[in-house]
Amino acid sequence: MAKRKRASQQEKTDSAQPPQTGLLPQKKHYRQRAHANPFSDHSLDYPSSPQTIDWSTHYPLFAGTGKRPEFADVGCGFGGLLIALAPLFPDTLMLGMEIRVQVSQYVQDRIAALRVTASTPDDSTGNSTTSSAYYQNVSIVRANAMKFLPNYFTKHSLSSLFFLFPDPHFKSRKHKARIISPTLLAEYAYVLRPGGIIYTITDVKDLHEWMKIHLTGFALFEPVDEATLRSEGKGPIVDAVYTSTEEGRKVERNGGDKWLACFRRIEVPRQ
Amino acid sequence: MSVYPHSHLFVGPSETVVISGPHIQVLSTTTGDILHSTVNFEDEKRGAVIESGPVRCAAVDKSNKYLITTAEDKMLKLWEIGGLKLLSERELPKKPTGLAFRADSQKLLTSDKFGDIFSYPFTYVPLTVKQKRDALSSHENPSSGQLILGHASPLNAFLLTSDEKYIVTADRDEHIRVSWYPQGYNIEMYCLGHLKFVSAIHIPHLDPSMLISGGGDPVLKIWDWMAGDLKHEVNVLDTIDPYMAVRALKRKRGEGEEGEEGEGKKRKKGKGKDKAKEETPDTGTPVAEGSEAAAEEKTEEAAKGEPSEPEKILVIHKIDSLDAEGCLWIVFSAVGTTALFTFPFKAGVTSSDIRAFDFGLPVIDFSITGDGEIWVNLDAQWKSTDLATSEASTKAVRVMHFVSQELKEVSEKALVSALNTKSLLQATPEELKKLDLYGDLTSMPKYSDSEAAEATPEVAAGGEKAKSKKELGRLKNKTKVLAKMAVSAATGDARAGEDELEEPETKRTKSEHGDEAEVKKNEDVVMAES
Repeated sequence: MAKRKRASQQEKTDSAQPPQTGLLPQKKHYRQRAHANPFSDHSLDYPSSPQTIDWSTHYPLFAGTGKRPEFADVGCGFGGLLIALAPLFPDTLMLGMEIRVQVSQYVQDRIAALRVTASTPDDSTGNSTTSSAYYQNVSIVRANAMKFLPNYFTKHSLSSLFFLFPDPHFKSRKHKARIISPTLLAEYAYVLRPGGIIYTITDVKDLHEWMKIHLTGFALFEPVDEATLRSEGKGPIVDAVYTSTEEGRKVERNGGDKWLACFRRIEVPRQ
Repeated sequence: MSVYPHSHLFVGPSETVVISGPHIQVLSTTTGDILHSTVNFEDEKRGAVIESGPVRCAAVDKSNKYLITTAEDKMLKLWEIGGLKLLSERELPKKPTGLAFRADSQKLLTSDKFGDIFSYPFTYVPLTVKQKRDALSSHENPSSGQLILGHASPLNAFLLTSDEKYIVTADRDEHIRVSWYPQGYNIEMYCLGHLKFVSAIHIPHLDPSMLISGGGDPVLKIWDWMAGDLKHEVNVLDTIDPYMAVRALKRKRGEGEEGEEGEGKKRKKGKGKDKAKEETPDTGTPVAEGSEAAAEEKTEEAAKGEPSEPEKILVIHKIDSLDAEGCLWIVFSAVGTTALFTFPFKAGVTSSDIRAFDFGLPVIDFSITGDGEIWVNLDAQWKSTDLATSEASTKAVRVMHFVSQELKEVSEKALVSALNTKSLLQATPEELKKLDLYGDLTSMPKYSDSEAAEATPEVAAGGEKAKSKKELGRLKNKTKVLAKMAVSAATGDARAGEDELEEPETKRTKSEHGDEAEVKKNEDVVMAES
């Protein structure tokens, strides 16, 4: 029952995306191995602090509004979630973070192409006026979120944080490299404002259990179920989490299961 | 015969602890008599001390009753200073980088290479059943410590605020984090702005709202740590530079960092050794440890065809403060420099306010006593193999204090002369080499992009053909996007998207090199694996 519902939702989000116009970058030109070592000293460029970031280069149409990203997709991959959410929350700035060079490059080119396509009035969809701001609210950085999340976001600046189909790091020796761990959760709680939501989804049951146990056991998060989120109007976000990512579609094609777990940032008193 | 330098010194009101290589000695503060020493332990216990290797981290509690140490073997040892009795010994999960007692001595805190802070109770109750890592535990925890917090980068320094409500931690990736204590999961603030690793932090007791930090950057930064606001910066590099005596080679490519496939794995194991080897002392006058290693180094370099000169590298070692002559003084030292630096802590302090006191020998560590004395441990063995040196310049410990705003040597005390004579322990050149006193100079800095790119021209060239196809594909699309933009622009529908297209181009040239190198680098885990 629930499955069917999701499937129909997917069609909806799909149709919300503009048709391929030939301007979009092709994935085959951006292939890269699926894993990166988060502990290595990559030759990364990262801001020394959030205050040094000029968000107007990422969101030129929002320059001067003082707006900062409120949604962050950690390990955004090919950017499916951002592209799906962008038109749904046109006034919310969203940032994808991806550690793999080629993949982040792809997302960057994809957004650039979408901005041009969506902003052109002779676009085949014909809806020129409303689409003019499409995709101006999404951007991407190549970043190691495990190390540098606080370099991008100030305290309590995010309302949503996404961990969609993260690297499962199957071997127990590699568990420390998982994106959800008790120590990293402290950083996620720092950037997320009280009331903000962490969305996690995976097709790996073990990883799902892992994320659930660590997030539930963490003092600053409490589980929140799908129905509650939908009742709070976050249904479209949940749908996008299920269906919009490239990984999520792959799982669907292969007939795999998807495990969703969401958590709300809460506050605790001092001991 | 060479002797061990004193690596740590804790001068207490009645007893003084001094650590040299693997050994711990307890001296009478008044007479300088050696009261206890691990050298005098019976064979088995002494063997265990030596087996553990040189002591790396040590801390003494507020009451001067207890000492904690860690050496090379990841064992946290708790000692009672009176009688020098080993009270307990527990295994730590990762290589420790720092130790501290809580003020009431009831908790022992450790920081480690993995980036975590653990807290252990004073009394050690060993686990009856060896606790196994279950599938859902994120951290190894052989002695069931309490995980307070963790960074994803090695921790270089940490401190508890004087009210013990907050814990401040500093890492190799430029972060300073302020967390609640003991609820370390609640991050109060970050103090961000360092461009290089942070290796020393200090909160002056007379101005506890301020934090002073230093590391690889040419400045010390002064923060309002609760707000995360940078209040002031003082350039220190210019003052330190003339005293940077010990130089180091940058960690080379292929040294753990990337390396050919297959070879990379072998190198990984030998990494620790390689690091020690890389260090060559100043101006081609190798100290005891030098010559052989240096020769090896050279051939390796020749084979690689990339000669590298030992460089001056700034690593702030310690920052502390003392109250003297109605003024708060900041005192700091840097790894491998021969001077101790001071400046008055006042608004608008500049580099011209910094004073250096030159000891002529690298400062290993310093400590400040309650009565305003600064005890300085020096590397007296440095260069001494081929220099006829006078008695004065080979002292292992010197004591300073402020007289008319200047650092002056305190007149000779029994304890000082004991530290410079009978408490010196003999060491073989091999043992001295193992100390790796200046390892921080090579292990702290990271690679910059440009160096990484330069070092892998062959990789870039090799991958060119495969790349260009991808490149062409991408370019084709981009040209189309550009054309489309031009059209839009012509129809007056232009918008600020142009820099959007410039950006990828510049970023790409960088990733060209970085990319391939990274795949290689991924083979290697930079953080402590063991």
